[in-house]
Amino acid sequence: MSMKTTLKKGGSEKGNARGKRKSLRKKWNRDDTELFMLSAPTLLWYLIFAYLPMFGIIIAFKVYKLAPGGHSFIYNLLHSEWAGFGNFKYFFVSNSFAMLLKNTILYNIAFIIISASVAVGGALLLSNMRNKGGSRVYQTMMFLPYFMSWVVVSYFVYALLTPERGYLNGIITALGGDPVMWYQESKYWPFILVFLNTWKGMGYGMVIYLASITGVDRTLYEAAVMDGATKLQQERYITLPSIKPVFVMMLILDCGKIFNSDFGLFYQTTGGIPQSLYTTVSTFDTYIYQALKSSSPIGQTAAASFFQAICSCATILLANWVVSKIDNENRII
Amino acid sequence: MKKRQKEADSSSTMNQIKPSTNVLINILFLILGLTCIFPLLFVFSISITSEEALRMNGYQIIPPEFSAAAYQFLWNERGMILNAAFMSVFITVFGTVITVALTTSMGYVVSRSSFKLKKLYTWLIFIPMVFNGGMLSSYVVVNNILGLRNTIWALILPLACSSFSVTICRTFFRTTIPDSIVESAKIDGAGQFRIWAQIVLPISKPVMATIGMFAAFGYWNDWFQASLYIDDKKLQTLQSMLNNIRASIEYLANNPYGGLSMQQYKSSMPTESVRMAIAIIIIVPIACTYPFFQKYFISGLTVGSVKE
Amino acid sequence: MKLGRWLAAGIASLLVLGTLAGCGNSGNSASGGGKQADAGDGGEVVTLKWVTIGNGMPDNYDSWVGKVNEYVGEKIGVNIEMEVIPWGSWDDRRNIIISTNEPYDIIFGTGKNYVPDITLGAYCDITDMVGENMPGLNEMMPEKYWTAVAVNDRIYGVPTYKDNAISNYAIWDKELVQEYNLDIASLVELDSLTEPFEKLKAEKNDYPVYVKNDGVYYIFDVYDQIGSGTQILGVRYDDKDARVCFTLEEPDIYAALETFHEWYEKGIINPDAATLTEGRVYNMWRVAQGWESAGVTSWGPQMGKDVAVQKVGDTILSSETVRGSMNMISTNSKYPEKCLQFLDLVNTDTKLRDMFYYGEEGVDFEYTEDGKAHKINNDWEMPGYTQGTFFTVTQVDTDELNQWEEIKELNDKAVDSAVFGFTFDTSQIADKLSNCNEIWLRYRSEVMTGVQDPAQCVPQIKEELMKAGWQDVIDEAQRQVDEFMANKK
Repeated sequence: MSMKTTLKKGGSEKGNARGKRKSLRKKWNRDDTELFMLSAPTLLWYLIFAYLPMFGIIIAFKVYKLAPGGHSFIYNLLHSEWAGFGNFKYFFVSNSFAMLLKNTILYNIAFIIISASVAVGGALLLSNMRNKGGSRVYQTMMFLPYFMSWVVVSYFVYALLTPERGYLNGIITALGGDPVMWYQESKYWPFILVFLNTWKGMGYGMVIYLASITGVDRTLYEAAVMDGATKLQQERYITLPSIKPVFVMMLILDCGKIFNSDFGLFYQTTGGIPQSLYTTVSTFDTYIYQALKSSSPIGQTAAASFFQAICSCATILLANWVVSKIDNENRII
Repeated sequence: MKKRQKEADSSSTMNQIKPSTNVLINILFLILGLTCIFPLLFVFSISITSEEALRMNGYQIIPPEFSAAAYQFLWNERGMILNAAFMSVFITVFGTVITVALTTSMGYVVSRSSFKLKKLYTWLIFIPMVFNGGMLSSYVVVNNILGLRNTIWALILPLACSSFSVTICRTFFRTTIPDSIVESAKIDGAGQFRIWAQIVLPISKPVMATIGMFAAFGYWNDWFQASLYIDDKKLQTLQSMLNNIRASIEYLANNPYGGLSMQQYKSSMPTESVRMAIAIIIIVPIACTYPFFQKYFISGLTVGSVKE
Repeated sequence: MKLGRWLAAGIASLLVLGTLAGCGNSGNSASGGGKQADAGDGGEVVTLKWVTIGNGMPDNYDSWVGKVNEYVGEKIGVNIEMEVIPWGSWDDRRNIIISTNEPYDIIFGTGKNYVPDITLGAYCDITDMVGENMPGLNEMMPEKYWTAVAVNDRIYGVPTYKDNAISNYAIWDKELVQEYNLDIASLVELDSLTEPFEKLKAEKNDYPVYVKNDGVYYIFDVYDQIGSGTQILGVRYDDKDARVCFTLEEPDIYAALETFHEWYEKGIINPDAATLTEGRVYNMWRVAQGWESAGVTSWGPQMGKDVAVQKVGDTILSSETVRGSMNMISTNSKYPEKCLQFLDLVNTDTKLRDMFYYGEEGVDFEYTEDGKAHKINNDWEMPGYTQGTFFTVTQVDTDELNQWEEIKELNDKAVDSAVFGFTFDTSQIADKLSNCNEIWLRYRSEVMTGVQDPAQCVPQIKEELMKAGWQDVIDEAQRQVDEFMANKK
């Protein structure tokens, strides 16, 4: 209860805050000093662990060589020859680039659409469940995969899919079918990956939408019942419109991450990406990881990840701009 | 919240779905819920299956032949396992405390609309969300500059804060801590540090639980930092142990050219059921703790998006 | 305006932090890996750091290294400090150590990263030092092993003198050989195996060829990959003309692929082979690298059954086989000579060699009365093949015959590859080569396990390769090989 009231107050305060922002040109005061001091440890963390390593971006534009004489990494980096965009060129002309771009984006689109539908659908059903206790138990159960690491999930997937002894093939052969070579048939993997992604995230997604459904004003439903609306009509005309803002917000945030992928999902559950799946399940993140492990020059790896960062930056800023049009409070920047 | 729910329940009893539909929905979610805990049971049952049966019959849900050999093996190695478990717990707990402190303080500061450096901070937080210097330069900072290799700090500090969590915190504080509370506290003579510690944090349990959970699972599940910075076996965590085994098996399998002299080291790797047993040791603590935090966790996550 | 000033101040402080860090850092690593300490007797003892692969640090490392240091400290004034990197983290950790110039003196390595690391400038050129500092190893090891590790006539690594030449052996389940009265000496050619395998498959209801995703890969061993790192490019070891070829189209490989496909169709190869990442312990038949008595000492015990072994093809020595295990000296090491002296001692001094191979005397192993080594436990997991020669290791008491002698004999009898000593400089075509290799890797598991029919997939692979610039790679390789052969004559 207390949370809701503060929430409301926060809302009413909004206008006030906006007014203040306009008269921002105030002097630095004691308050600012105190806030600065409060943030100082985190600020320091950001400088050391987030900003200091950024010199590494230069690697993307260098032909990295070790200068004789046992100098530090930074010294060697600064004294290596400039490569211009040579490292990027390698990445773009390699036959992987188009494939990586396609995979990363298509998987993300599939993930966004399917996860969102499952989450909204599940939340609608859960909210209508008569036994609230049961609903809570289901939520807890469905949340479990969210907390499992992909390493652990990959063990389980392996036990299911390994062709000779796997559980699924056991069932298939018991039913008289031919065993499927899961780890070499690339056609199954888009579905497996979408399934795993949905499975891992559905508890989280449903809970978010469920919370926003329980936030809907009950009197609206009562009024609708008076007017003789059926259950389906209520969902269609009351529930769905009221969760629309959350839906749009989640959608846009997901779109901002469209150039990123969940490394563990693509790399670990496939068993380190076997060759026959390479073109089906590789994304920017797995490509960069594999390049790091190989003996390819570090400049090319750095170029690939820098390119990914630039793309993400652009999409996030775009998403942020869209968010700010819809709801200024939820902007990231 | 409870009161509201009760009201809703009583007023809409006639607006409930049909009992038969309710049963259907229950069945659906029961199935969904079971698919979510099924892996845990499956992995457990493999861990108690004998190697022999695994080889002959493959993976089964109900072990055709029980064997506690895997756990026996772990028990014989208990010195190492317990040490790794202790490290995992210690790093998770200690790291989470640090993360929550760093994240909430920053989140609070950037949520203050009157803060002079707000704009600068917002960008400061945003940029690392997208850009990073890569593994090598992070390694150079942690190892060469800070000299943290083979210390627990190398497992904690690089993960201690994230822009994602700071953003969640900021949104939470912005929506739940009205300026009026802060203003009135200031009139009472409280400094910002006291406001943060004594007023803001006590009413921010949901977001602290959220950040804490994210952080705790981050620390608990991490193996990458460990593989970079730790080679002292005393500092090994459970997750890194499991990953090490997996990666080592992979390496030995993919490098057949090392000749006979190398292949013989393969046979010293733990068996399948042992690996599954280690996985169980890793998941069970998570499976046992998160339901207790779930209540806070949910409200912390959703408050940013739930508006009335 | 104000904001700008703050931003500037922030950036300035970042820069200060950065330069401070930079200085501290270069100060750090300039000191190199070697540390000096005064030995008790007044002589100077240097500490060398040796980075190697294995199963992580041994549990009794401290007491072990104490004993080792006592011994080598007295002998040559060297103390050592080991870092044993687990197999699984090796690639990551090794790359970091090399790229960030982390201080070390000696590092283990294989052919995979050898040339790229030299190009990077990571290793010390020891060409002019080995003569003076490694008298023992020079005497023991044939000269040509140095040729094998030389790149542009300069030596950067100390080869490990072990089973350097490739000898392949067919390993049979002895019980089956006796039961079916198989004449394994005549069953060397792949196609001659089809018939007995069919019979075995029918009667034993198991796959006679049980392999994982790299298939029956030994067929490529007759091709010297000349450092290209891909199975599809090579020069046949006995080709005096040194023709660089696309191996899949060569008659011998193509015939083997056809046989695999036949085996797959007939159910001789396990159907899931292409996807397996781990093989199986029991195999009716397999081919592995080794030596004859390994059947008794290693393969048999590993499988838990007696095995019969039969040599397949010639024993071949190429640059690649020698580069399978080397130890390099850091270009930043302050004491490269000491490093070499130390490695020389590891190779020649049996007492020291045993300490590395078997572990701590009295804890991991002990000497028997007849001068053999008895393993007390199996805890010592530092891999012997990374450290130095096998031939000075004391025999283990369970072995009846001296397998080291046998390996030595194989090495001596080995046929040199036609392009022995040649290293392909891939810098001009690196992008194309890696793209081509990527294409091959995509097909590899299915081709090598017989899933695909070579009649279809080989032309298909070739077509893709051609688009990726394969011809340029072959041409460049041939040009360099021709040049090398011309200089050799």
